[in-house]
Amino acid sequence: MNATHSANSGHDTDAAMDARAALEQAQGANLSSDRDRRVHGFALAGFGLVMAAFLALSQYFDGRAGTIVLGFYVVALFLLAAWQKRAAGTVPLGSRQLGWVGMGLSVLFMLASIIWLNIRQGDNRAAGIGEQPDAWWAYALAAVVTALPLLVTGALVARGGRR
Amino acid sequence: MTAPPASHARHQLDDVIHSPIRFSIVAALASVDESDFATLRDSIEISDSALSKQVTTLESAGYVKVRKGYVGKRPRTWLALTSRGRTAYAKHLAALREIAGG
Repeated sequence: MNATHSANSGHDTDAAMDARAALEQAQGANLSSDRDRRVHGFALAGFGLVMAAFLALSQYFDGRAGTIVLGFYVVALFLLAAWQKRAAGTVPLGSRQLGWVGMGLSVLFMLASIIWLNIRQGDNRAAGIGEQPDAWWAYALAAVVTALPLLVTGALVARGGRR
Repeated sequence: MTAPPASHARHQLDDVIHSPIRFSIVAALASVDESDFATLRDSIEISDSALSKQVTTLESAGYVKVRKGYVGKRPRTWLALTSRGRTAYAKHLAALREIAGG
């Protein structure tokens, strides 16, 4: 009876040691590198800057120049997405969700900025000023507001590993 | 003669995750949203075929999602833990903690 009890407690000790080793292994497992976090962070910030530049330039230019701006916008987004996919071996934990939140807010702010700029243009027309580009600060403000959510989420993703 | 009640924490261990290689795979995937096949293979230091085999087992259990795509012209495979896989892994870790503490 004592021998059985002793064998059982020896087995439990081994199991506990194995369990501790497995837990240590689990704690040490971190597939995501600082480089991957930087890639995803820079990509998010880059999307924000491209969207901001497109917003400001597309409101300033129209006609043929506006079409060229749209072309550059689409190509820039495509190249940025391709670089992000190629350069990173992992998607850091939580960065996908953060990225979608940032993208959603930036798109929302972009639409709000376009509406605001159009209302200002409408007011100018009503005041008899006619079709003139808006003040530079209005474009700059719209661009900053558009880029901000993705710049912030980009910074959060890039710094994620150092929390 | 009846079997004793399965109250010991070892009964809560997940058979699919318990294998050392699969445990390494799941632990590594739990630390990211998604990983490409090569990064995971290099991290846990096994061959392509061995990783493929274990991933198939995990995929059959519904613990891992496999996504195939291209980067340029090169095919690339992406792996991610499913929510079911994350839950199973969390339960497995809880059982290990109980065993280690007991």
